[in-house]
Amino acid sequence: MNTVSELRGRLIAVTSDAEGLRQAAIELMEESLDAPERERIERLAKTAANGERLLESLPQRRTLSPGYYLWLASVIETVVEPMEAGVSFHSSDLDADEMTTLRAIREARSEFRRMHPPCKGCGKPLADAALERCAECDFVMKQAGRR
Amino acid sequence: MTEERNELLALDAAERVATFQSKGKIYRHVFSRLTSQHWEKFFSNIIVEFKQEGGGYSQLVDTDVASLELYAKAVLRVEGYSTRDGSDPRNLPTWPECIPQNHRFRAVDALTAVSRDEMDESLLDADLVTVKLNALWNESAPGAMKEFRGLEHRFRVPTADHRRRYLKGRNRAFIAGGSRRGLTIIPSSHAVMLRLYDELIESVEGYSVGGAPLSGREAIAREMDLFHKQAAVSHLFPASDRAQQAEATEAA
Repeated sequence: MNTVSELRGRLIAVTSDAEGLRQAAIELMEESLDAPERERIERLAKTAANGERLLESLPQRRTLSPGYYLWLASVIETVVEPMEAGVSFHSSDLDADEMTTLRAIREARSEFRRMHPPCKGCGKPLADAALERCAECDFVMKQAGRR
Repeated sequence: MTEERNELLALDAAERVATFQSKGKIYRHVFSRLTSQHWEKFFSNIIVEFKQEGGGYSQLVDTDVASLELYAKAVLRVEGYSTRDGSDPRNLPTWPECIPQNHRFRAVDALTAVSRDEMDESLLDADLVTVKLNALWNESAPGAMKEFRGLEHRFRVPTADHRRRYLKGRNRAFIAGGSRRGLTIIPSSHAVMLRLYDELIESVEGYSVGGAPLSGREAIAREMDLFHKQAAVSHLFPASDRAQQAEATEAA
């Protein structure tokens, strides 16, 4: 087996691959859109006879090697979430890889918002950019219009 | 394996013994004291790989190269083996590769047998975090390793910055295979782990150097076995919900 140093010439360093990190971050956000459906299917699969087939039907959003998602998870936990909770970081606290990752996450969020604009009723990201409201808000609107 | 209740684990013993029984025979593998250099080389040869399997991923920790190299660098002699002409196995031109590979793995497994001790989690410390380890170390009865239980490592409470450095070290991944969908490889983060140990350790219990209990932060940083340092630090930082979720998704 090859050691890391032997392979180094052919390796992609996840922590400085801005494009890969941006793509992985978008996929994680897309995955969060599926969360309610994912939970529903996972609940069903526990009792269904064809549970494994049901689980296989879950949409697979992740297309990259797992190293991207592991690194993103660690930066989100240790830098992004504290920042959003009000912890301030000085630029000297963060290394170049973390800065690259933060930029990639910011770009991914911006792209995700373009692809999934907020529902005009409740603010949740819409599955389709062509819609104005989510199914629940649309239903409420139609009910209100009938009255 | 026998349990040692009151004996201290002597870190500075000149030799370390790994012993086991197989098919009614007792084998002993005697090593020099394992130094920082031995362990650093060992850790740097360990690679964690994530392989795609079906819809998910499986994690593979490859320690074979690391174990065989550690064995070759540190073994002094063996007992329980014989040669056709009755000479010392060390005189064979193929020493130490002449020792069956599975025996070399078993010997290194005995050197690296360190696990977390089940702790009473109701006992709270105000300003320290305690990690207890169990470890095999040297021979007790013929063919049986001694087991030391409840070896205590008491640390200062880690800050968010310590956790950040730990996670950065653990998740600094590389992708092999020429594409972003290739094999994820995570090199050992031992350098970060060992620095965190030396920065955070306050005291230990159950270890000795020079016949006296090991004490004092500098002495602990200098004398503690690096494998025990790595094991203690890995239990100091519990996995977060997010990390567990990421790993669960990969294992699914």
